Amino acid sequence: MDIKTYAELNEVIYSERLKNGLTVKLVPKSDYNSVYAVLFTEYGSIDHRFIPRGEREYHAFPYGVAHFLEHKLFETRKGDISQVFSSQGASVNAYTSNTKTAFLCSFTTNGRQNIETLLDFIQDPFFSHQSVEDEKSIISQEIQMYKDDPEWALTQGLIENLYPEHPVRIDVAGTTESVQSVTVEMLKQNYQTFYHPDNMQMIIVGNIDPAETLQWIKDNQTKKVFPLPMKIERRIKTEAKEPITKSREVHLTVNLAKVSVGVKGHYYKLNEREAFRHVICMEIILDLLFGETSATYLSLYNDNLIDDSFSYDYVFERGFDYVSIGGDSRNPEELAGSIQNILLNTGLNPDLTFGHYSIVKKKLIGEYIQDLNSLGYIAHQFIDLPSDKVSVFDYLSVLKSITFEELKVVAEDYFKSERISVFTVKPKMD
Amino acid sequence: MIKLKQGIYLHILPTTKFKTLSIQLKFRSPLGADQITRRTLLANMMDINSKYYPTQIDFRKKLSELYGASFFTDVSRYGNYHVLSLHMDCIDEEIIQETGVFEKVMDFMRQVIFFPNVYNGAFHDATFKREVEKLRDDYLSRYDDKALYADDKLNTLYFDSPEHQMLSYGQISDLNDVASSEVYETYLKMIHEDQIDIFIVGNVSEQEVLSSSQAFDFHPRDPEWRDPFYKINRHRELKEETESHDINQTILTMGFSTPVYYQEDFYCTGLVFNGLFGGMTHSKLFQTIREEENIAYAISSDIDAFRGLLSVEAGIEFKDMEKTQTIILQQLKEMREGRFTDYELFQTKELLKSELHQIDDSPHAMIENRYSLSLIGKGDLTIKDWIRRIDSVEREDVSHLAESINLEAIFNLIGENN
Repeated sequence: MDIKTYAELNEVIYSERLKNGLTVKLVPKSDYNSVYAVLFTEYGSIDHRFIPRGEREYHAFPYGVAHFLEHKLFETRKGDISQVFSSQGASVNAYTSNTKTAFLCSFTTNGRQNIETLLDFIQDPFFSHQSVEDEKSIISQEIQMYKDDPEWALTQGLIENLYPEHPVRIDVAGTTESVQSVTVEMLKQNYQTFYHPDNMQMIIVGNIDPAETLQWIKDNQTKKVFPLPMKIERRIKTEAKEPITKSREVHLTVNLAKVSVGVKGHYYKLNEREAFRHVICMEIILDLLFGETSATYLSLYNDNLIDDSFSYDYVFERGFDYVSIGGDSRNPEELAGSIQNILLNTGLNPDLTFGHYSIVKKKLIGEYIQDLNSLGYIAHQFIDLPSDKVSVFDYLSVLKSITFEELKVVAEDYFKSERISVFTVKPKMD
Repeated sequence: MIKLKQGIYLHILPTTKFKTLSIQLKFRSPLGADQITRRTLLANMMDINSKYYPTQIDFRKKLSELYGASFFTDVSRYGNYHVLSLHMDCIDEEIIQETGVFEKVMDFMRQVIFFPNVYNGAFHDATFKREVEKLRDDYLSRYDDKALYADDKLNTLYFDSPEHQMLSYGQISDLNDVASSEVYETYLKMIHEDQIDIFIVGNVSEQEVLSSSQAFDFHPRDPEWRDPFYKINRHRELKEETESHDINQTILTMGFSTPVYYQEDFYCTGLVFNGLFGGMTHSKLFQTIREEENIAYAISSDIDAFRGLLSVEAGIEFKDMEKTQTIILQQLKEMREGRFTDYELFQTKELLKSELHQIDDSPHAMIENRYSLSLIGKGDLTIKDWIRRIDSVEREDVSHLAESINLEAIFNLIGENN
């Protein structure tokens, strides 16, 4: 077992890669009552074209299989697994993103039982034709729900603009049509390829004894037989030569217009520590340019162009990265214009000063330490990190080591006119 | 709890488990229809700038310098009370190896409270105008989120008086003629008349807190007391309303009156009832409507324990609307007949207890819990007592309670596209 101590934060991570390939990371927090346990696989909605285990050719699967599989794993030989968890005082949840599928449970008692239940239900799947058919209408309702959400429409619309080919442009749940063609056989092929322990990690944060907990997990895993690990061959349409859609709008039944300005990145190829550092750089840059201490924010506010919904985000995932900035606006065209103007003229921006950079850094350190109060936050960071080689507790030292000059170089390189796109949601006229 | 002065109370929740200090000031007034929107504007104004930090840049820079402290304000409705809260979190000084952090943070709070951005009896005009427009946008955007919109409509339909019908943060029509001077009057009223509860969670000593809170120069007051609970004899004709929008999904919402009030006789039974009925994934509504009938992805129930309201919300296809309503009422009937298993009862209690144990793992949950208890004068109730009460709920209690739960309002938002 590897033990890594972060003295400054008073945190320790215990980690080990088991013989079957499963990575286990444990963060004991003995003064908390709760435990937050996560089991996740490096497999999400974009992984729809790959060589299934035991075969030689690439298969293309309908969109939404990863999410469908996540839903169906809850149905076990023992019935709905959330029932078992509730009888053990645990609540269970799961989500699928573009690149990951994660199963989470939290509890204050029955630690061993709950951890074993989490491993067992994921590692002993049971799919019936009838239940797969039944699930299609539930997922269709889920897709309809998202479709009616204008915030979702804004995010998804921008992604479609930026990615004309890449499967990230399709909703994680798939489409109402694509889920209709999902079969038991497909779920099995996807499961066998991506749910091997070698492609998975278990993270447990909270009131645990690390040595004891690791032993529980090992005992559970050695009882099970798994095929040999294999290298997973994915084929995802590359984006290199595809031009982006510069601007597009839709009309929905909303009162307020919403606009999002996106920048498609090419940094997703970075790996390990470089990727981690880059993500933090982007976070600082966006805060410098658009945060509440920026002159830009104040002037957009004074000009009545933004309200509290204004936000900015940097997404960095396996295979793609992009920036999005925007929110509700009385004048979406003018807001989009102002944002683009800021992005394309970083060299002259009065918010990009050493003084402002020091302030933003202090703010980010404060926010980060506040977030560490939450066990759920810590566990989720392990899922979201761009690399297995860094941890949530490395954030502080990396953030501190980033220099102002470094930021200016990244900002200059990232925001290029040909990479910028605008998507607008406007009220439908009756 | 320490009584600092008449009407002003200090609650220190000492703990070393967090890396932060959390501070909240809560101003409590009776819920008044004419004050809710003004108090919201006031809360928003206090979140933006102040006399000596007159722009967001000044205001937020000061917070960044306080080791990245966070600050925000909000308002909420607890039955017949309206509460405006100031929230602040900062890093514990041990982590940054500094001293005097607590005093500096309390000093910022003092600035916000006693030195608002006010000139000649009115808030800074440009800020005020801008905040009115921002709040207008906020109200307008409720329509854009269809689940929230359906919830709001159900709330308006279910209640009879404007202070309960409107959002906990007011209504758009109040913005048309609101004057900056009126919001300043609301501010003065709040500072001089509201009950004030100060909460501190973290690694601080009582002595340290007491000396810093002396800096809050509040005068003693005699706050107006209300029964916190909205209790009106219901059982009247069912109110039903339907609207259709150009959307895909149909949203069905139902409001039931209950005798479930926070920590009163039926409270723990009410929590168990809600878990069994629609609050948890093993509940009857989730199991029938989603797992057996496969007609919804989202289906749940919830209780507002300061107003005795049980609400149910489901996202479905239009063709399944009547069927869904029938199933919901059928499940309520089964609850009345005691048609749930001992195992389901056991599961519900286990989950409720686990939720209660988790309160002490979040400074904000700790404050919320302590404040709710103090609102009803039961500040000394421990989690242990509470768990004992959950354990003692019998199946007959649940079916007996279900008898007194009555459907009073239905709001349907129909998705025209399906």
